[in-house]
Amino acid sequence: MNCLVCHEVIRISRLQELFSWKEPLLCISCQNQLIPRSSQVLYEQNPWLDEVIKKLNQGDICLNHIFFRSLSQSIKKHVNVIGEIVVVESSNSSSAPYPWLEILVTDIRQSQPDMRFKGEKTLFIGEKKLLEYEIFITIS
Amino acid sequence: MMDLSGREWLETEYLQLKQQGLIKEEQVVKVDGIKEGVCQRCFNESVHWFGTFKYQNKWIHYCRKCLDFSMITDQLLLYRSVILPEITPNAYELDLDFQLSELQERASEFAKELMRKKEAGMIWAVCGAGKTEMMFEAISEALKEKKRVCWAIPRSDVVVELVPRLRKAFPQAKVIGLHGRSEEKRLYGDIVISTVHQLIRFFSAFDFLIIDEVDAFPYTFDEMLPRLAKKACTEDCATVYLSATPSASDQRAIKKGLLKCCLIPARYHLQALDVPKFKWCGSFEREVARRKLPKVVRQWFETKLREGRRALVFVPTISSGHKFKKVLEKNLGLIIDFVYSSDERRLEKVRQFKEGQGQFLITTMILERGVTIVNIDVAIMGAEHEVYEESALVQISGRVGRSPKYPHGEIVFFHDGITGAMDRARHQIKGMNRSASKQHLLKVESP
Repeated sequence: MNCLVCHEVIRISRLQELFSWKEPLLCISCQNQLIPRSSQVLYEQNPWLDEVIKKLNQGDICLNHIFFRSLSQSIKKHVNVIGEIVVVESSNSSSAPYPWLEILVTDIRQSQPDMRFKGEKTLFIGEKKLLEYEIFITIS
Repeated sequence: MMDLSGREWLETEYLQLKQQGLIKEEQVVKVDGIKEGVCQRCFNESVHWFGTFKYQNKWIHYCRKCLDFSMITDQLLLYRSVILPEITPNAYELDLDFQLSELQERASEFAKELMRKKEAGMIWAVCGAGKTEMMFEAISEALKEKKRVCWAIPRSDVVVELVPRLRKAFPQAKVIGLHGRSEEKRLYGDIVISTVHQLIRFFSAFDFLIIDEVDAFPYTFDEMLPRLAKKACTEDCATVYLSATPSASDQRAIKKGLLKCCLIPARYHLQALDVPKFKWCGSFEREVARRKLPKVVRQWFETKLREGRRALVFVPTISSGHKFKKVLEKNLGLIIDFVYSSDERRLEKVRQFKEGQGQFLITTMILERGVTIVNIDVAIMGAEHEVYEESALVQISGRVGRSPKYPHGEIVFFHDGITGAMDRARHQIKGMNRSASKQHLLKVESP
């Protein structure tokens, strides 16, 4: 199993990981750079995260897996009645071959068809607002 | 002139050329971007280098290995030109204002032989042997036979340096330089000087391929690059590998007779290679972090200042380089430039230093090879650092004494303990001097 970002072989270091039903996505070194933040901003901004977003904008859509779980949980936490998720993309990501954020949100909706949204909330994958990784959830 | 032969295009590029009336459908072969689990652009077939996602109810499979060159998916087609190259008349005409030495002649004959027999082989020549010049006659012969030539190099700096030299030597030929920031990416060249990465734009284009510095990063570290080089060649392509420090595996292949080799142990000015001196200075990184300059280092720089000698100073990391620059400027009362990979002004700074501006230039490993600066000394700071492998130390040592007018210089490894790599590098340099001495090649016998 190779790390999704740096492609190094992932070494299992804890017994807990060995018996986990989920395959690890990142090696320890990359995992350490994915630092969770508050509820609205999912992750701490750092050069590693910038590089991941740059790759997503190039079309490396499978990196979406890194954010899938945390974004699902964050959406669930903030909204509870059906609504519409609007993906706001800035011009920075307009040259991307595929809209990775829209694909990520679609995957989350399909994985949890019963999920209902209410209210308005803007979520960010990183800290830099107005950058390309902004997700806006609102009632339609 | 736009290059239409031996090229591989994405659909958008192809359609643009077709719309401009530059290419017709019968002049290309279409292939699937990804076919039977193999990316047809970079020939990646490792499962973990592919990605999959669902978009608009369709599963899309894409190659992650060559993603930096725009996305290739199983939904896209690649278009390969079948147009043959038209070598410019008289492109082969050589305009040289020097004569090859006997040793260079030996290597030149070896390259011509490989070219005629359409084989692969290596020229293992010490730093400053004049490897570039050794290839000119073989290139000329290839162009005369209407063969298209590619000179592939791992680093863009060296591409920039080589283009004017080849243009001067082959005034009638179209010579283009391809690297990440090049503006000639779509132009035709009888001789294409390219970083290995840029060969991704070609398919079955070249009949004579020279791979310079074949042991250098990233060629030996990225398995995609040898595949790209192979893909850019025709089936009958002859290949010459050039190196001053072949990898251990190439050295083994040479010993076993699996790879033809021509060894050139002396420089073209036939003076012995300068042997590095080792000087203990304690931990370089710790000292500069404390904003201190070790005494032995300060004395060395002061001597250089007194003697009016210029020096190239290597540091192991960018962060230590920034700190060292400040400490050195403060101690010597000079403004000193520092160049590193992400420095936007690096080409300009190197050009200025080459032209004689500045007494010292601090650099990371980016100037380890392929750069010629006349009449300089070299210092390596923190020579025990892991970035300094044997080949890197030999290459850095090869930066001094490259000109016949100034055939010697001083090389000092400032260290905090002698490493195996340092010992082996010095041993290799002495070995080359011994070999040249045994063959009575040197004008003055090495000490």
